[in-house]
Amino acid sequence: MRRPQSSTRNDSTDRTTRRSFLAGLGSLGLAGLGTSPGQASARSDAQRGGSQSVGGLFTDSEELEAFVDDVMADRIGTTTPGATIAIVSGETPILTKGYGTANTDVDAPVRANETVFRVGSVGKLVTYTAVMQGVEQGVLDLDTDVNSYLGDSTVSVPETYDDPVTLRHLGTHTAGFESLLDPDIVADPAAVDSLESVLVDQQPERIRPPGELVGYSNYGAGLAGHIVARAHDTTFEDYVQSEIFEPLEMTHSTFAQPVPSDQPGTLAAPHIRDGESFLPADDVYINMRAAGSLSATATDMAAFMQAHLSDGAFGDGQILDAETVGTMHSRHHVRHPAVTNWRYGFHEYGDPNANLVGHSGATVNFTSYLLLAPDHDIGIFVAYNSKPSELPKAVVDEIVAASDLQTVPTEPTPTAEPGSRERAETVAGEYSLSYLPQRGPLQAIDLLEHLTVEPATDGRLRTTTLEGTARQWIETEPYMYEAIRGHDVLAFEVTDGEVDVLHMNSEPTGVYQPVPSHERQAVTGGVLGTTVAGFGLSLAGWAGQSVWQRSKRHRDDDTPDMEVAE
Amino acid sequence: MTEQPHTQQQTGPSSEHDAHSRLGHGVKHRLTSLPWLTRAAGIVLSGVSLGFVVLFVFVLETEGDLTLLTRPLSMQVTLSLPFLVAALTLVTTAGSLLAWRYRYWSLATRIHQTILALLGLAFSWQLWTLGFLTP
Repeated sequence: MRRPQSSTRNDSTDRTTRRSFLAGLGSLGLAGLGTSPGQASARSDAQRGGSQSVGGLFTDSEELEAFVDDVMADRIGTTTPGATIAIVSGETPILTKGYGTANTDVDAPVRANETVFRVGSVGKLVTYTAVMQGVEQGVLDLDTDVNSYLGDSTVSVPETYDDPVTLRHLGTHTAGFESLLDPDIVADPAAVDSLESVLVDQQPERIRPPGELVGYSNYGAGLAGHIVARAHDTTFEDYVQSEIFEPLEMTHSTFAQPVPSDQPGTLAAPHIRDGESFLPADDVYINMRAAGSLSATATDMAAFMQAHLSDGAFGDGQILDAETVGTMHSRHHVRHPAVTNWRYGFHEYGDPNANLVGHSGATVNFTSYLLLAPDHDIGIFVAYNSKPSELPKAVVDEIVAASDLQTVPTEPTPTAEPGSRERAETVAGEYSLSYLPQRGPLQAIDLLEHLTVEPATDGRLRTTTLEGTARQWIETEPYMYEAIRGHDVLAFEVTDGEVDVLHMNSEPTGVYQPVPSHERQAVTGGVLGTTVAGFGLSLAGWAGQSVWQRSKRHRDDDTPDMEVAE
Repeated sequence: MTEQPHTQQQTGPSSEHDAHSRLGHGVKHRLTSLPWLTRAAGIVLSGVSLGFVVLFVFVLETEGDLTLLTRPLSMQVTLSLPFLVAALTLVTTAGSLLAWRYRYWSLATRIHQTILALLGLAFSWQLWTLGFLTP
């Protein structure tokens, strides 16, 4: 594979905020972090010519292309230097198109069938498709202890709880592993290690019984990939190559790192901001490869979506049978009936009743989003060769908003149940996401991502983030709040007047849990500010005193000589 | 006083030996002096704490946020400082307790040293909360 030469420059003027980076780094698949939680960025229908029927937008490819061109025109060169898009309708790709440049150093245009993007956690969908192939063949079972597949592997899951971890837990991120966020990202290709070694070296603790709460886990996806490899007595990369990429003719796709030089296509360069422009950056490598090392073109991802929308078939081949596809697309974990839940590997998107499933992806400087609408046989894939604050999901949001893939949200009707104010006060507080690290320097991300909930007027609820995003919610049922605009929902689970967990519809990868008072942002900010100021004053005082004493000594020493001179 | 310049100008082997001896004795005296060590720990605690904050921001700004994941030497050094802060906090706190017990220094100095210990404890608590004191 050819790759345009890239700069090795590090850029300190990257306009992506540090908070955004911290929130997004290592969070393959959690690219939504760093943006306003749950805020759809789709513009109003009026701006794009109004909502259209699915048939209208997706059957007329010229109209679709014009629409997407319009959507991307606002973003290329400002949000991202390059993008690649694939939209399929059942077995047919109806739009595969590249936008902008693959590498700003050589001004190479993005070509949908030629330019390879790192798609990050969207690659997990390939991993979980491989798991379902094993289930279909009878070599894997979703409800069997994963340790039974690990045999003499050096990897094994500790028996911390009575219930074992199963492949169903791994595919729904409910295994209860402590979050590491970092899928062992390395900058040096020589540091790329075997999947098995990485799973041993980076093994997280089990901090929750399996099946209890969603907590996005790169480790879980890596482990699923390792189990696939062991079940078929091969490597994960080789298995996926022969059983998924070849049948789907995904000739430009690979999980290998670095991308082999003989791989077809040209790898886009990742970019960072430099003022108003973009600079190529060094690529990184993801050791937990089954969690996010996939590189692919939009055309290849179109083939992957076509198979998922065509009962597993692609051309003359079949990667899954129809029943298995149906199983994979059905719900496997319900965190709360009113919010987005988990299919196998996919999470639900938007209106939980719309049967839209998707997954986001990110490496350090690539981002992507894949959405399937199985009821409409529509698939959408968007990838950027940068990591802006507004992510590729925003493009998907606009396309969805312009179609009938889900119902247009209406103004929520306030509950008639009295006591809204009291309930709002009950749920008021600060909340932390379950998938954020609870140890190591990346734990700071948890603090930055806290969600503050407080009562607002008229029994409404107000949520804010450190970033300053404020949203208003209307209580439609006791302890259930709908966003004033959009499909977002907050669902609190309350026991004896205390909140156990908060589910946010737009945050399917984790749940919010109440933060103890002493771990709130104001406490941390206040203590850090006070201590740093105190240390600074102390040092300044000590230095001042030293100077004064030296000066005084010097004066005292000089005085007799002057007297003698006199 | 008039003899002092003359004394300082002595350069013979004997005077050099005396100077070295005095210096060695002074250093030894300080390193075995709990009051001096406690004061030094408080000052170093302040410096290392501020140094950590400055260095952390500096490394992120100059070498990029990715260093949090890839951990080059500069970030490894930076992330080792919180452990030094915690150790210095323990020394400063223990020293402050001894200072009140054995009435080291003036009252103002003891209060200052106690404040430094409290700041160290609070700072270390937040370093722990933010994950800088865990592997």
